[in-house]
Amino acid sequence: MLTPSYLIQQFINALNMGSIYALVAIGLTVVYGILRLINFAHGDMMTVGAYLALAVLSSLALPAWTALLIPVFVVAALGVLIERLAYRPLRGAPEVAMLITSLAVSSLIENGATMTLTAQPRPVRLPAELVQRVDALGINFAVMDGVIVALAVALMIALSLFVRRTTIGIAMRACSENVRVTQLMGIDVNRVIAVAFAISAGLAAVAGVLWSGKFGIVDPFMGFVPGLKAFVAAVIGGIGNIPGAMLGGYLLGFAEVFFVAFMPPEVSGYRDAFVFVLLLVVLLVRPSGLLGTREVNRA
Amino acid sequence: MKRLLPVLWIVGVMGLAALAQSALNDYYQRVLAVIAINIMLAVSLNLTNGFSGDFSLGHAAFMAIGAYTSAILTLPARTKAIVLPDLPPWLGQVELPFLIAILIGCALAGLVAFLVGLPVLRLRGHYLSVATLGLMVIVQVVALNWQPITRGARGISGLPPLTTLLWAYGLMLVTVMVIWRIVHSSLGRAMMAVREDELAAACRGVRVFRTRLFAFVTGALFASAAGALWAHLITAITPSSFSFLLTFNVVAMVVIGGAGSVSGSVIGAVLMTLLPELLRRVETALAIGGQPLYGLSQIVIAVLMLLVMIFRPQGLMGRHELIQVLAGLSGARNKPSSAPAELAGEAQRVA
Amino acid sequence: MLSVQDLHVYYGRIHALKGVSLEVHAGEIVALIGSNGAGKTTTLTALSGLLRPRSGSIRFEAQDLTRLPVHQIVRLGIVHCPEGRQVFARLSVIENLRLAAAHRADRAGIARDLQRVYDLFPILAQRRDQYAGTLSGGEQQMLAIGRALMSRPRLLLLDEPSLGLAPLVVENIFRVIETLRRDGVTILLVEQNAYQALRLADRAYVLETGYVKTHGPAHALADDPAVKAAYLGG
Ligand SMILES: Nc1ncnc2c1ncn2[C@@H]1O[C@H](COP(=O)(O)OP(=O)(O)O)[C@@H](O)[C@H]1O
Ligand SMILES: [Mg+2]
Repeated sequence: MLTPSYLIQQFINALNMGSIYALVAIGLTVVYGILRLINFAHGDMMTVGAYLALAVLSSLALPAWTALLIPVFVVAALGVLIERLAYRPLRGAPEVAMLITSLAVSSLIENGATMTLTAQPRPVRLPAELVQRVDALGINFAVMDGVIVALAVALMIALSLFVRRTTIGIAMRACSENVRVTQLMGIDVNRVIAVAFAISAGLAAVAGVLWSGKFGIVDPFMGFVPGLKAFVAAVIGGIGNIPGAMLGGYLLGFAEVFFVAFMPPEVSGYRDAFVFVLLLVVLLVRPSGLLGTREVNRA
Repeated sequence: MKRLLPVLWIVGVMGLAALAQSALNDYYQRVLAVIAINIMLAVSLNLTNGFSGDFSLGHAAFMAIGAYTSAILTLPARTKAIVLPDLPPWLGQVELPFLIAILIGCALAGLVAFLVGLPVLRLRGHYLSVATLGLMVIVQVVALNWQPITRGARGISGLPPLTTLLWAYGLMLVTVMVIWRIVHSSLGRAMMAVREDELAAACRGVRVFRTRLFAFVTGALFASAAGALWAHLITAITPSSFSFLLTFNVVAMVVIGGAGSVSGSVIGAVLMTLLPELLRRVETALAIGGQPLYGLSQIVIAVLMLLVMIFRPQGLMGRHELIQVLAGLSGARNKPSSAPAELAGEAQRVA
Repeated sequence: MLSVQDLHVYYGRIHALKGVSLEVHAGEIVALIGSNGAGKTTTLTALSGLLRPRSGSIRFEAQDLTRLPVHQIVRLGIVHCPEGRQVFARLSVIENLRLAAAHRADRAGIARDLQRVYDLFPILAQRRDQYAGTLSGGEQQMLAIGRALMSRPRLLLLDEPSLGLAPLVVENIFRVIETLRRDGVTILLVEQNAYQALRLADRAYVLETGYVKTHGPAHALADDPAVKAAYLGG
C-alpha cells in the first residue's frame, strides 16, 4: 500500500489542500487582524466564487480563463458590499455582535443559493487541458494539481509584497496593531477595511474556484466546512498573522491528508473531528499560534 | 401571593397542555411541542450566551448527546436487535422508561460539558465560540462514524413517540423555572458580574471559572433533555439533524429575544418557531414551476437577525424581563422613571 | 486658530469633561496641566475626533470639527501625538514615518520632512529599518513625535511627551518642542510635569476633574500660589 507513487499522490493532495486552506485562512486572518471579526461568512465567498466559475464555464461565450478572473472581481466587490451594509454599522459594538452578524450573512448566502439554485450539487466540467496528466520532475500529476499550487503560491507572494511595500499594505498592518492610532496618521480606515475585505473575499473566490475544480462539484453549503477549517489553520499559525495563515494552511492540509491516508478506514472517517481536536489542542497549548504574538484571553 | 405564583404557572400551563393534547389535531400538537422544546433550548443557551457572557455555538452537540442516548435507551429490545445488532449486549437488552432515559442523557451531556468546559472555558470571546462549534463538529462526526451505536448516516428511526404535550410542557416548565431561579439567585448575579467585568467580579470574590463552568454545564443538561424530547417527537434521528443550522436557529432565538433575559428567550423561541412554520407554507405555496422556494424561511430569519443587530442589538427584551416591563408600563402613568424609560436609555447607550 | 466652547464628553455614563472651553492662537505653545484623571487626554482625544463630544463646539479656523472624520481632521493640520507613544511595534521606523505622510501628495515636501526628522533625531536614521517595537522608550517617543511631524502639523497636540523618560531624553524632547515653535508649529502640550510645561508655554490651562479651574499666561500661573501648591510641589 505504501508504494512511492501512493506517497507522492498523497503529498500532492496535501499540497493542494494546504494551498486552498492557506488562501482561505489568509482572508480570515487579514479581516480578523483589523476588525477582530471571525467571519463565519468567509467560506461562503468560496461558494459564490465557485458558482460564478461554473456559470462562466458553462457559457460558451467566455474564454475559460475568465472563470477565474470574473469570480475574483465579483466576489471581491461582494465582500466590500457586505462589509458596508452588515459590519460597518456595528463598529464599536461588542465584538460578539459582528460574529452573530456574520453567522446571519452566512445563512443568508447559503439559503439564498438554495432558494435560487436549489441544494442539488452540480458537477463542474474542467477544460480538457486541466484534466490531463503530465510527467514533470519525475512525478506524474494532473495539470489542475499543478495549477492549484502554482496559483496559490503566486498569490501569496503577491500579497506579501503588497503588504510589505505599498502604503495601503503598511496601513493594513498598522490597523491590525491599532485602528485608532492608524486614524491619527491621517489614514481613512474605512478604505483600508474595504481593501482588506476585497482581498479577503477575492482570495476566497480563488480558493472556491480551485476547490470546485479539484473535487468537480459545487453546492450551496460547500464553503462552510473549509471556512471553519481555514479558521483552524489561521489559529494554528497565529490569527492576525499573514505568514502564520500560510503556514497553518499547509500544516493543516498535510495533517488532514496524511491522517486519512495512513489511518485505517474505520478511523479516517473521523477526519473533521481530528481537525477540530487539533484546534482545541492548539488553543489550549499555544493559543497565540505558532507565529502569533497577540494576547488571546482578552475578555 | 409570591409563593403561589409558581404554582399558578404550573397549574395554568399544564392545564392548557392537557387541554391541547385532547383537543388539537396532530399537526398543531406537534407545533406546540416544538415550541416547548425550542423554549428549553433558547432559555438554556441564554445561560451562557446571555448571562455568563460566553458565546457558545455548541448547543447542538449537547442536544445530539441527549437525543442519541435516550433513543438507544428507550428503543424496544426487539427493534434494537434488528436496527442496531452490533450494540454491546447489555445495551441491546436494556429498555428504560422515558424519564430515566432523559436523565441518563442529561448526565452524559453534563459530563461531556464538564470535561470539555475545563479546558475550553479557559478561552474567551471568539475563541470560545469557535471551540464550542468545533465540539459540535466533533459530536456530529462521531455520530456519523460510530456505526455500532449510532447506525452512522442512516440514523436511528422507529423510536417510540413518547413526547406528548404534557411531557414537553412539563420539562419546559422545569427548565424555565430552574433557570429563572438560578438567574435571580446570587449565582445568577455572579454570572452577570463575570459577563460585565471578569476582573472586577474576581476582585469581589466571585469564583469566575466555576461560575462560567456552572453556566455551561447547566445549559448542556437542559439542551440534552430538549434533544431527548425532540428525538421522541420526530421518532427518527440522524447526525445531520444536529447540524450547525440547529445551533444557528437557537442562537437567533436568543439574540432576537434578547440575550440576558429569560422571558426574552421564551418570546424569541415562540416567534422563531411560528414564523418559519408559517413561511414553510409560503415556500411550498410560492412554488415557481413546481419548485418550492426552499430556504426562504431561513433567509427571513437571517434578515431578521441582521436587522436586530443593526437597529436593536440588545434584542426585543434587552436585559429586562417581561414582568418588569409590564409593571413599568402600568406604573408609568404616575411614575416616569420606569423600566421602559430605562430600556430607552440602554438603547441609546448601545447606539 | 483653535476655539473650544463648552465641551462635554462622556465615557458611557462617566461624565469626563464638564464644559471645557479653551483657545489656542497661531504660533503659541499652550500648556494643559492638571493631575491624573483631570481630563487632559480626554480633551485631546476629542480634538482629534477619536471621541465625539456630547455637546459643545470645536472650531479650527472657522471650521467645525465635531462632525469631521478623524483622518480629515489630520489633513487640516491638527496632528495628535497620543499618550504612551503608541508607535506601531511591528512596523519599521521608516514605515511608521511613511505611514504618517501617506495622505500627502507632495513628494518633495515629504522627503524634506523626513530629512528634518532625521536631523532632529539622528538615532532614528540609524534605526531606520528596525521594528519600532525594538526601540527604547526614549527612541519610541522620538519616533512618535517624528511621526507626527511627517503629517505636517499646523497644530500639534502632544500628550505627555516626557512621561517615563530619562531626564536627558526629556531635555532633548523639550528642546525639540522649542525648535518646532520656532518653525511655526502651534502646540497644545499636555504635561504632568507642570514646571517644565509652564516654563516652555506662552499660556496655560489648569484642568481639574473635567473643569477648567483657571487659565492665563504661563508665567503668571507659575507664580500663582494655588497652582504652585497643587502642581508644582509647593
Ligand atoms: N476609556 C475610558 N473609559 C472610562 N473612563 C475613562 C476612560 N478614559 C478616561 N476615563 C476617565 O475620564 C477621566 C479623565 O481621564 P483622562 O482624560 O485620561 O485624564 P488625564 O489625561 O488628565 O490623566 C478620568 O476620570 C478617567 O477615569
Ligand atoms: Mg492622560
